[in-house]
Amino acid sequence: MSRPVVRFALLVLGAQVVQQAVFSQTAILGVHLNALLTVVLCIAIAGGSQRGAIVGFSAGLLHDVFLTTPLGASALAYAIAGYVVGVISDGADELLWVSAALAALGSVVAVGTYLIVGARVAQLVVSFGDLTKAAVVIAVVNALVVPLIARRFRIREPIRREVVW
Amino acid sequence: MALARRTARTRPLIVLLVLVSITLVAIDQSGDDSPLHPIRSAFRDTFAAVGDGADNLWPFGDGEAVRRLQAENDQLRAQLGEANGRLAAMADTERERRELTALLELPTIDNAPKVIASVVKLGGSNFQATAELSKGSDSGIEVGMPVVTGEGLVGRVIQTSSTRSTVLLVTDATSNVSVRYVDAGDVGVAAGTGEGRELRGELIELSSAIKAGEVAVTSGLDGSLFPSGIPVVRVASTAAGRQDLRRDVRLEPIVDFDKLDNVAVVQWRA
Repeated sequence: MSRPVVRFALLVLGAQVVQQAVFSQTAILGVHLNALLTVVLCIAIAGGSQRGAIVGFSAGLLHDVFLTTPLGASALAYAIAGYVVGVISDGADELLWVSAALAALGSVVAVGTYLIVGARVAQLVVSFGDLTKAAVVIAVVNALVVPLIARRFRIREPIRREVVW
Repeated sequence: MALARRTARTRPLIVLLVLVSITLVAIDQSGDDSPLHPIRSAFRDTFAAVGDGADNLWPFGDGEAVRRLQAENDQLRAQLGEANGRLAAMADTERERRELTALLELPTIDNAPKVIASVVKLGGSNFQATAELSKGSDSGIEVGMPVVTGEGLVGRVIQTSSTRSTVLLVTDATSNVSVRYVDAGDVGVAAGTGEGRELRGELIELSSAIKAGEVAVTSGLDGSLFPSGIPVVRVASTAAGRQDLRRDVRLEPIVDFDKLDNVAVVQWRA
């Protein structure tokens, strides 16, 4: 296995342990944070759309194991979030505020997609207020945390810009 | 150009991942009967073992746990004395209840075997009110079994692995329990509205004599998910509904979910 794959696998497993041990027991304003989503967004911003989508799918699948919603619901949500954030960050400037905005966007996409799937197939009942609160809290925390962590593991392949004469 | 090429290259990948995810969701919809259940169960058990090991190594947990247990012990001693007094007065009522229940042929949990388990995780999801128990299908726990404490109904099992099970609490927004109000005698539904919130009393006529403080127990009626006679909620407030001919009843759960440590899974099937 290549080094990035091992690195990502360890990151995702570590995030799941943190999720189980810390975040599932604690909440901010009644909202549990999501360590796996944070890792996915960091990798999407630092590594691009392909890595974002693959790591998002894998992390979501692992997260699904511990939820009562069908396997694949979080995988779908995180893969889409990782892909969307990766695609936008591929062409965006590497500024802190841009990364923060992308992290917030990715959080909202992930929470929204998960709830749409959960409501359709697992009959999850969530009020608009609860949905908004969860999305806002997770988005704000990820917007603060992700840009700082993403800078630590910059793994993006350089984009070869074509020079037009 | 390079960016556009890169995006075009990853598009088939995201389409593939979306299709795989949707397929997995479709296959896994049937819960514990799903072909993916053994894989899910194996992962959960492995992580549960890791979690248990980590808990034992955690250096700060014990002191806090001892203090909490001591405080709880003092409180329990005080409650025990009070309960003993009430028990004597209730003996006659209990005998009467048993006779009536037998006459109505309602199922009860009195003689059903129980599995005692501890709560290893309460909540953990932003959108469901659940608890994870320390025992699973290896101990005889099955999906649908009621979960109780000495106080009353906690919920029902919705997912199991070999060594863990997940309980949907009565406070969850998808939980509906058929209840009978013990003083007024009305039968209604205690509907959850979300973790940490009051429940909603449904199907109560305006003319009902239900009053604040009254306890409601599981009705055990035909098709009910629970046997009869388990305390579920206490009426917090009641008022005439504004929009229809029903009473607006607010209920608080009998069980204090913040202090949930040990529970009994009743091996009873609907």
